[in-house]
Amino acid sequence: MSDPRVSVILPTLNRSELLRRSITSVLQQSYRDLELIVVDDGSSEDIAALVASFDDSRARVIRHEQCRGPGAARATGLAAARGDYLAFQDSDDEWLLNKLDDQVRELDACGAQVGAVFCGWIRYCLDERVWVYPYPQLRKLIATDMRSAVRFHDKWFTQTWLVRRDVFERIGGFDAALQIWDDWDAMLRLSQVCEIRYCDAYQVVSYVTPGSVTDNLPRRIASIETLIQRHQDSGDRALLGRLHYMLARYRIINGQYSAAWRALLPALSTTPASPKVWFTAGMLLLGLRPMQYIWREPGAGGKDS
Amino acid sequence: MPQVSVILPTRNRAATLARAVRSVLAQSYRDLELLVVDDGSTDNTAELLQCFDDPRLRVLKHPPPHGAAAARNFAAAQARGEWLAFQDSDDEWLVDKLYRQMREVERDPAVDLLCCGYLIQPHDAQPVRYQGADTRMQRGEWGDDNIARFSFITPTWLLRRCVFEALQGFDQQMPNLEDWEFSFRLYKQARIRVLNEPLVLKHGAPDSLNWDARARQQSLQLILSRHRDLWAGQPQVRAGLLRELGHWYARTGEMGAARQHFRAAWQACPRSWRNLLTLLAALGGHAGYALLQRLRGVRA
Repeated sequence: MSDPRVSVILPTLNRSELLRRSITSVLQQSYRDLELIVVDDGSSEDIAALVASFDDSRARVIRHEQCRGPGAARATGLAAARGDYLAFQDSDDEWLLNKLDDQVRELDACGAQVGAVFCGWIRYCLDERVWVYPYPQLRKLIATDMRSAVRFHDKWFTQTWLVRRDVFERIGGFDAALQIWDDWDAMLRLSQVCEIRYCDAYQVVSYVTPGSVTDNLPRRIASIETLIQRHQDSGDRALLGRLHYMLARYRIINGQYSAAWRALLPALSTTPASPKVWFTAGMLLLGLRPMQYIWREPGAGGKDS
Repeated sequence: MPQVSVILPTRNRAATLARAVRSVLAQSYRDLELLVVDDGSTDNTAELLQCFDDPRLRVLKHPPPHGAAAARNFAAAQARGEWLAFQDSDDEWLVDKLYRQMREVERDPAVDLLCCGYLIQPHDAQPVRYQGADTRMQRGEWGDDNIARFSFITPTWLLRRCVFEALQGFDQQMPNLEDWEFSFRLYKQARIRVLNEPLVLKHGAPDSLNWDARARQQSLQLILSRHRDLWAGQPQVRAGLLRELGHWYARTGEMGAARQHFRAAWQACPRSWRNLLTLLAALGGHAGYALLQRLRGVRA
């Protein structure tokens, strides 16, 4: 059997009920030349039986006997992938049936200088609100300056990507040390070695369900610190300014006064023309309270629309 | 014998038809037949349908007179499933649509029509919206006062075939809105519920028949005259329909007819400031009406 062109990696921990929908939407893609690698990260539910019930030789399960976290599960999937292109699926997402077909065609048509394409995403919340990504402002930025868009925006949903495997291996894949923003980090490193294109269509639909992995403040702070370390040498002042500003923000919300200054001062020196950094610094002279009041929604980070 | 018969009427929509058909055949719920009614297509619809290698798909040629209502009735007469579902050539079902709906009707066997929520993706740059149900609709409480707000497009339906047949199907005289009209005949004798989840993605098409103003006028006229008894105790519902009809006349530039319906709306429900305001604006002719629409934020 020759290798499939696309490897789809789907890490999961239990959630069989959702997983059925997610797997169906992959195996029913109009683009057929794919393998689906479901990485069972130590579930108590019988994931192997669920996948077997699809009776499709393109799908297989790799099991971790113990739960090692979503990053490790994805790494296991990546190590097993054989396709030229990589795609990532999640247990609570559904792909529309032309997603891979459109993206493979786009990536085939582009030269090797384009390493990845991604599509739009519709997210339905239980309160009946509908978010779309990219939102209009970001879409404009993507159309004019993709590299700035990657620096400016911190959420890049891997379910929307199709990446060349050789390029992804060259950048070293996802950073296992990052618990949050591993998608952003990979996107940043991708944008340094290749072009990234946007396929202008909503091809992924997801449902926000209770029990999704959520993140907390200490984890965010730790992840930002790691991100700063990784991109310290890139010389990308705009990015470093933004990262330090984000770090200052989370430290302020977390109530760390002097640590907030240690993040804010580098932000001031790398992006001295940013009014919001100066504003934050001015307010911080009055103590933590004013900015905590302005950012009073705990745990909400970045633009989420 | 399949449990669900899916009916898909189409005419000259080869560009989007494959997506619509595939989204039915790819359903995680497998026990279905798909009846595609080719309603006199002149493009490559027939060839396109031959590419699908699935024994569950049947293509029916529909003799004239044409129209979506007639085509759906024609297919329903040949359907074998206990349940009917409808698909449109522009729209896309999410993969668990039938699975979720069939599970729901198993839990609540009294249901005759189970609709679901849907996402609307406009063809222009407008934002994606969700059309769902309020709690009353979810509980299946439909009455004279809220049935006119029934806004679930046929691709969201799962309907008992015997109920469809007892009501003799869609009204073939309706150029459009036949699903809405059907709901007026249905709700008194059947149980309608809504599963409030997005299971269908509706793609807005600029040239969809729905937006043909003349057809709208004719359909609304038919509904108003045919369901007189329904609005007898509900003047504000009747006024709403009359106003709607007035707006459609204004859209085709017939301000005389528009004024006439706005006046009828005001007479039906004189205490409503909205009826009065619309009438006054229309008395100011095109300019007055256009000003009102601008204030309401309606795009021309």
